[in-house]
Amino acid sequence: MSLSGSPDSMSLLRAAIAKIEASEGLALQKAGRKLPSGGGLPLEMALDGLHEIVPARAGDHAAACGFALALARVLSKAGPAPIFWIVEDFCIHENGMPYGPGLMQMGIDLENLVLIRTSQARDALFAMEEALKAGVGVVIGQIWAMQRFYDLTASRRLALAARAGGFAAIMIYPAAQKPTANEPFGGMASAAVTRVEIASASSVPIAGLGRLAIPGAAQWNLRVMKARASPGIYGERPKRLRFDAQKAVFIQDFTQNVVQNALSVDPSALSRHRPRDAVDAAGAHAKSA
Amino acid sequence: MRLMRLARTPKAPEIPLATIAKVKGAQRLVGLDARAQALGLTRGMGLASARAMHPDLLVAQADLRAEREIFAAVLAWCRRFTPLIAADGEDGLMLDISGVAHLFGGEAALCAQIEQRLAAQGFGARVGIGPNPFAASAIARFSQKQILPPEVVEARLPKIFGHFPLAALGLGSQVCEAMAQAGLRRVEDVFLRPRAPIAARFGPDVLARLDQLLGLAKSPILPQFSAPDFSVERRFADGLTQESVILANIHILARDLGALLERHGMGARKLGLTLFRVDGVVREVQVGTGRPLREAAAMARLFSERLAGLREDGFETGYGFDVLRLDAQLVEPAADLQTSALPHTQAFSPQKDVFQRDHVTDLVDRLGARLGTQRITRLQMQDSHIPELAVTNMPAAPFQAGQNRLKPSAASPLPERPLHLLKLPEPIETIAKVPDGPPMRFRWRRALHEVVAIEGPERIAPEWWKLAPKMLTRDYFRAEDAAGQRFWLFREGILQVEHPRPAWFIHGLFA
Repeated sequence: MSLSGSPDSMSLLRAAIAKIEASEGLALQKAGRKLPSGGGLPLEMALDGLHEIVPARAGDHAAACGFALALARVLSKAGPAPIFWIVEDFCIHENGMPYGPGLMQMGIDLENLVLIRTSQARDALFAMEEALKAGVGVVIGQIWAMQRFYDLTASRRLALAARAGGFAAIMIYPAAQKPTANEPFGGMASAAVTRVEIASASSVPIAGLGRLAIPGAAQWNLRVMKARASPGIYGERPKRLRFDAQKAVFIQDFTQNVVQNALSVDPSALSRHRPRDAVDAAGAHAKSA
Repeated sequence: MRLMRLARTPKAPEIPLATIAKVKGAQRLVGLDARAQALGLTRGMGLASARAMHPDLLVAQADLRAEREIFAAVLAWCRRFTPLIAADGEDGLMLDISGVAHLFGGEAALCAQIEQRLAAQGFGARVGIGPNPFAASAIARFSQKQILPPEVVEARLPKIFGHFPLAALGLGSQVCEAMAQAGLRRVEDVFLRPRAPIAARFGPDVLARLDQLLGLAKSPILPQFSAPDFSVERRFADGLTQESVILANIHILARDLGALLERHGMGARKLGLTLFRVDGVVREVQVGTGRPLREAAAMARLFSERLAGLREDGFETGYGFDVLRLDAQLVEPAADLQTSALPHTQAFSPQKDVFQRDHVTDLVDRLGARLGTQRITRLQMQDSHIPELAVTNMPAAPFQAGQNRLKPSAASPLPERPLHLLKLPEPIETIAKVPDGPPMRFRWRRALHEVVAIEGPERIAPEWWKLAPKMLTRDYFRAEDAAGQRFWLFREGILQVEHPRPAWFIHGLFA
């Protein structure tokens, strides 16, 4: 049996490969719908893709969750679509329960949030896939035993479900099992279109009465680990971001150096804020920036 | 219907069998098979005298718990004939077969079918059909005939039941013995006598039972399972073993039930699927729905999720299921919906609560069927300023109007709150400059955090107007460490007022 003997089969195979590439492989380059304005993000994020968020350090889990929620809001800006937050029980034992008042301050309408707690990682992946296929809103997932259950197949299923439903999937890694940064594409292979590493950064400080400043609006350092839609961005310096909860956009902080200490901000710029109105002051600062 | 268990080893089929139990300090016979009864042994007889009469009697210790379980299983199994079933004493079942018998080819055929099927499972059963529960019970226990034809008029009942023993009235053994001592042995002995002296001597119960037996007073059946409002079923000559076939049939049932509900303008809020296995095992699967449901595909999908979940827990088709029944156990009036047209206009109407959108509800139902409905929740703000009481987990159903008054706003005057609240506050070790000052550094989960920015205290006092368990005043601080991680800390108790050395805790984590 030689291939040269059957030219028809060769052309058939070529046609089949072209078909697969048209529908699957190369389609990732033009990955679905894009965010119209970018939402203030330094990279393009598909509205119907799978995104992974990796906490940079052990304590950055809450920061990663906050970024994921902000991202979910940005990615569902077209309409008030619900957010499905699917968590494995052990994550709640370890990191606490999502807290209503805090969520509201991120601009999340509690009426739009569905919290699904599962006892096993497998159930969480199942629920994520179902919710994505139903196409009713952005799905955030958190599983503890990531390395055991979240592999190429699982992520591929989620990516396809997200594409079919038209809403984004966001997967948050547990800090203890983050993919190693030494390897070029982050160690754990997955079908995600984007993978970003999130570290909590010093907040926008507000001068206090005493020796110490008052913590202001939350900020994150974002490092792109993988971005299929905008490949050039990989390996750039971390970007500092914060989130405007009212307008639901990210604000990039170009002025501040990432390594700058929070305390070395020029106090004269802040002196007009009374320390008592800490929250208001933070909001005003965010608007002016 | 009367049940007798034939629990015997195949090696000794001819030997009479009895079960014994300790009754008032003596070993007595409590259960007998047909052979033992034919030998003249009776229930309640002492083991010693039974052995004396028949030395080869096979005796086993009665396992009352197993008997009760088997009885309950047989009771559930009988639901294949009628939904209204009650237990009749310890060894009888009462089936309300009004309007049911013709489905099985008439009363005689129904009797035969019940007896044959139970015999095939190893139970000896006697079936009796009568115009009222007492009559049926009496016929099953004390008559050679099985069926009292429906054309028998009530006036003839005294004659028919006249020669039955008084035990047919279902009275206690003490009353029966007392009446026997008075020379009353048969039903007619009571019936033909003046009522007042009998009531005076043996209690009013006797006459009440007599009236019920003879159809002079109503005797209701208290069914074990409530009858559903709407029910559809399919029966098969052979058991269905393949899951795909079972699911296809569930879909057909759902379509039939949906048509039934639509005709009555109803939708199902709770559905029950009963699967009768050929070998007598009955499995029941229930699912709840978030809105009145009547679409066949949605109902079928709920069950397919549920069965998929059950399969992981070892749900076996075994010899196959020969009866599938789908009940709408709870129904609500449902407006006629046009389901297919323009789903997206509904999806993005901004004012609407998410849970009033059908496809969100369907998704929640489907996930609830697989994971358990209590695992799918939404957060609802409460009227409390104690942090852990400020929000509760509510079942994922539409909010009542005005239930969630608080709306999100970034410029809210409320103090800032963390994104994650720990299940229980965790103690931390702190170092402060002054005893009641804010911490300069603290240790949590073995990691040391250097505080670079802090805000506080925000004092939260216990709700003294409620009769709550004693709680100390808490002073909350928002602290940020050198890495930019933000924590919600509190000190429990006011120094030297409420507590000599207040302890520090971490309660939440900010984004």
